[in-house]
Amino acid sequence: MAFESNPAPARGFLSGTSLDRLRGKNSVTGTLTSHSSGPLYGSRPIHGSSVLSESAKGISSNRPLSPNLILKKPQLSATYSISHRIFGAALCTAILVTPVLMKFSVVYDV
Amino acid sequence: MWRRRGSLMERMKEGVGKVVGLGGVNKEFPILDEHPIAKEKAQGIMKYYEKVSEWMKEKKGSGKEPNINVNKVKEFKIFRWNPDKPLKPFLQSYHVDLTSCGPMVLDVLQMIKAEKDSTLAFRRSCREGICGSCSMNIDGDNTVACLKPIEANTSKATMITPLPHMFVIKDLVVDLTSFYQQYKSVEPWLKTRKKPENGREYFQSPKDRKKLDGLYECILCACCSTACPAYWWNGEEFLGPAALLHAYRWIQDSRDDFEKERLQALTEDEKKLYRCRTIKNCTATCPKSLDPARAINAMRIRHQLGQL
Repeated sequence: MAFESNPAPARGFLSGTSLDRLRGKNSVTGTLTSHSSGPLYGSRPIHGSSVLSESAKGISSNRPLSPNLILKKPQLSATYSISHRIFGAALCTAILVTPVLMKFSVVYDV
Repeated sequence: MWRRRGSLMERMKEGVGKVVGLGGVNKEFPILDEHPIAKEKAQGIMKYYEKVSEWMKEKKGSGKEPNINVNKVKEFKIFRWNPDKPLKPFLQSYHVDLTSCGPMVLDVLQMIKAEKDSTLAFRRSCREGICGSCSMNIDGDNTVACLKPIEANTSKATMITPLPHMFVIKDLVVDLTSFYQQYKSVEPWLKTRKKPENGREYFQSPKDRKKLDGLYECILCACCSTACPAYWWNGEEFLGPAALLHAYRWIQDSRDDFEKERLQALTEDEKKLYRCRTIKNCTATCPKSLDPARAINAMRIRHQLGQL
């Protein structure tokens, strides 16, 4: 539908393919109507400090961001890193909250 | 010399094999012992060739025109986005007969561009893993397409997307301007205080030269930087593993007189170097089996020791 000019390769076009499903977007109908009205899919405002090529100046704000987190294959070291952070945050919360709860239990005799 | 690293599992297998006395699992390709990822890929190609040559025999045996069997056709899902028709990006499927195609993913891309759809855009140049142009995300892994063998399993589609979390210019081409700017910001050239002793060139002992092995091979394909979540979320401030590997290459160089200044420039704010969270996706993904994570750690240790 998107590429009427080259129908042969577009035959394999899968609207709402795994990419969309992975991102939790069910957009089979959404694609048909989203003719560049409003912010484009996957785009984000450009940071002021980022350096862009000359050719990018005009259209850069329209550029989509390529798929990232969900597509990347999980790796052992990365999984360790993120779980380390999650458990660290949990432990920190526990340590901070426990004395407060203790205090409560003493004060209100729970 | 820095040992080149393959995947963690492979290394563990190899270690166990050595202890048990099997002499490692990967006995094939002894010439690639120093380059585990190349070894993995070489084995992948051999597997692929075995399968494809079987199919070719079948073809010849039948004596007819190559009858395209469904089994030999593999689906490739390729990320498409056209700046002239800025709709939503989507995945387009192409069906390629593996018996009429080369062994690498880049061969498939070139075949699609030549025979099926000339509007497909991707970067490529040397087709042998030296230029680093054809880096892309293939089946969830950042690699250079010219070194990645096709998976011979035809029941599963291969997904090809551009490098993660970069602005797409068209299809598989991403904007690497800021990546190159960051490389430039580490001043990747020799800086000295005094003239060479013989007036012509700076000498280096073989021992000092060995320190640069595992650092100078980087081809700036951007696979490591775009695999790094820290770089995704802080792409402007954090320099990224590729630039930092090069920074360390110049800090390590015995001929360079500005190690301290280089290190100071990297550590003057907390972002350029210390945004690294030791996720080590860079080391796991590097198609040249280099170890940027270790270079970053070495620089942090050097900086911390210098502060004592």
